[in-house]
Amino acid sequence: MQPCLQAVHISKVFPGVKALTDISIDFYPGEVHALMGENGAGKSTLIKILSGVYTPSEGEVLFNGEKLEFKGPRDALDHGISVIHQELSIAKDLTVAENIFLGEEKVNGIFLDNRSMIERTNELLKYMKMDEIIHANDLARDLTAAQQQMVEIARVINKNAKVVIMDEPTSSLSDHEINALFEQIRVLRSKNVAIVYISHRLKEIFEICDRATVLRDGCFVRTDKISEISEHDLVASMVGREIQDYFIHTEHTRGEEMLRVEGLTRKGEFENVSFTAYRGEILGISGLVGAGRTETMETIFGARIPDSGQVFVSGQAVHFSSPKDAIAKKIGMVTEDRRTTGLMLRAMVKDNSVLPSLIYHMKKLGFADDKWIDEVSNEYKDKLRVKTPSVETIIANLSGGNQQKVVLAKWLIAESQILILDEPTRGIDVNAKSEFYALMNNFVDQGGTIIMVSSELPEVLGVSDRIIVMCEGHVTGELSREEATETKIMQLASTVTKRGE
Amino acid sequence: MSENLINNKNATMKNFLMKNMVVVILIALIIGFGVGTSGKFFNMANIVNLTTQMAINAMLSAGLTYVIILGGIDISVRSVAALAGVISTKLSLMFPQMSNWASIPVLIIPAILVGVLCGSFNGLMISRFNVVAMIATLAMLTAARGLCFIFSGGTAVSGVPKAYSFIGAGRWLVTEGKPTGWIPNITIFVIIMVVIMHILLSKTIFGRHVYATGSNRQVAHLAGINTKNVIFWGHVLCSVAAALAGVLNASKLASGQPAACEGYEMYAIAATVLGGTSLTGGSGSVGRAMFGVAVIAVINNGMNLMHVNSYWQKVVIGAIILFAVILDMAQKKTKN
Repeated sequence: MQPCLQAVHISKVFPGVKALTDISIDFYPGEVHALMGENGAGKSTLIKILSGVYTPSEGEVLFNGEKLEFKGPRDALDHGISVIHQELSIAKDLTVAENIFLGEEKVNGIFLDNRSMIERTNELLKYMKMDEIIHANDLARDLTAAQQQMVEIARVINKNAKVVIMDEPTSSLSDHEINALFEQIRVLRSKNVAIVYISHRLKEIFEICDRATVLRDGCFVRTDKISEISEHDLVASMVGREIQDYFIHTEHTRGEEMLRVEGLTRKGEFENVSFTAYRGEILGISGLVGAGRTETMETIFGARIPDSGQVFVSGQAVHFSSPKDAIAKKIGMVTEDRRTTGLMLRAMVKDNSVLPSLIYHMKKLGFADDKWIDEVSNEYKDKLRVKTPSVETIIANLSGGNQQKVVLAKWLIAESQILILDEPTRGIDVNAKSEFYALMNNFVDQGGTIIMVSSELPEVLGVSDRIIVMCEGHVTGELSREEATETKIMQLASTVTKRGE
Repeated sequence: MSENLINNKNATMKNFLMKNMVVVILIALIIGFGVGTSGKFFNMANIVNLTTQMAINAMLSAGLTYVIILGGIDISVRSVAALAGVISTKLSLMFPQMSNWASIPVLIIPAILVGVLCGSFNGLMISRFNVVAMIATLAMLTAARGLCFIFSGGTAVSGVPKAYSFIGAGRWLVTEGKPTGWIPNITIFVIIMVVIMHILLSKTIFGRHVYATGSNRQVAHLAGINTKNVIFWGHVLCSVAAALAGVLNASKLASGQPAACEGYEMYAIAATVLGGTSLTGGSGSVGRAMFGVAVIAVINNGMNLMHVNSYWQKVVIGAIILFAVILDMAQKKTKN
């Protein structure tokens, strides 16, 4: 069989980072091809090259054996290559029909042919058996994430795409919705479409895919037929070493209660969340995306105001009306999205390091204490082994792992006793990860408390002393390090608690 | 269950009112001023007068709707308008004997020229060089005003031919009882322009792409839309509309004032936002902006009839702008 899309010796260099090194992969029509690898393995960069968003530094993309020169997404679309992006790529102010035809509107003379676009949309929705849930004139804003995704798939079907790239399409879907998605994928496959499927979920890969390619640290590792590879081999080649020695876990001694949450509720986000975190432990918070974990943590940190419930720090009831209050109580939070909420990207390393502590180290008349800033930022740069030419480097120029170390340094300088880490190792490479885990262990050994939200099961299992699982805004279970397994967590993470009708 | 239904009904009712707040306000104002001026407001002459007062702001708002939907802003419209007025009056001095109909190209050609030049500059800076819209148009605001004084030699261009005022001050439908005519030409001209701009935005591919780009530029880009071009042409349209407003103003006053149209951009932004165009982009319409234009015109007109000090009128308009923005933000909140 002739591959319809080929990546040939592709490399991609960004300033300071080599994201991809000599990648060659063939994609065949009528096959679902899984692209696997840890965060930062280069999957996203590769699909951006295949879809014309980036141009490769070296190598080429072949379509039916012909070399493609992309100047932008338009060229890829014209060749029948469509992407369903990880972040939903749907314009929320437009209707379903308008979104499906975005960029390919039908016209009648110079005017939009709304009637035939709506007709075609209705046909598509009917074909997908979605016509009772989604309507052509619904505003995209009013649809659920899953329904929006269905609109994107309708768009792809409408385009008669030859290649469909799906970047973690199930990350915001429930089981039921995933089944609906798989049905659509099977339809596409039967129409001889080549599908590139990116997911972290092994179960899905084995259910829907025909072939799998593993990338690691921007390099090609292997391509196998799914029927000829075991789950264990696949994971091992993604991680690159045995999982056991990947997470460094040291025994901690649990001390007194540090943070207690009782019945915390924010309508529509999470309900009646209660748990306790102790001195000298790493408390893992697991669950699927959309379980309300981030919202809960932001509420504890004072970034959101709870509707009801109570937070106690060291046994004392507290009411935070802004993160400023939480910081004063020695709580720090490493947010989920480093680039937008964790760092001032265009500022220097040292200014990022001292931001929350500045007001506690002012000189007379509110002048900043520059000497202290230089000293303390250099001290922590060395302590955490941040790889940067100097503390005066603009932080955007550091690698993801080193940026994350600066975020951590920020809270250590602020003398935080309780650290909330939200997906702390997202998008950083394997070595930086294990360094980061060592720093976490160190912090806990010295009497700190860590609450870590993570969607990566191996991470939660490998690092936590105790694990709490959330599902749809509720705490559905608690597991000790000894009793926790992937299966148990997944069960709890998909336990839908009955809500009072 | 039934309680839910009632709640839903209340919610949709509230949504409907929120969405059409501008219509509610307009009706309330008309009734209020009607009573406040003991009916003088409803005088036919006043209503006709009101439409001419709306005309220039309507032109400006129609153009601004495009850039605001795109998620940007254009504060340079007032000096672009003044510049077009100065150049068009200068041009008219070369044709002292021109006929009424010949005045139309004398108005429109300079307007398009000035609009395309200024708009291209704004559009280029914003779409290609990624200059923030506020700053790029602030630069144009100052530069175009400077050009006004350079071209006019620092004083008003006066002594324009009588025909120059045909569109701005003339009237159509002359009857025996009404030798000056019934319907202001400026009103007809502006209605035609606004309808064209409304259709362009709501019925064509370009218009659809304006919405998509303003709603989420990344999404539009990934759908293969050339968002840079969309932003560029949005700004060109806005400036052309502003320049047309400027020549209409000059035609109405029969003179080219280098300092004309001061503060007009604020009225236009206020009208656009009052008409439901979101300052964060993605939604709005030219047609609805006209309700905003009407609200502002009615307030000014009503306050004039009630002899409110013109300085206080400015204070009231300022408050209305703030009110419109708060309304916009509140709507955002209910959406999310």
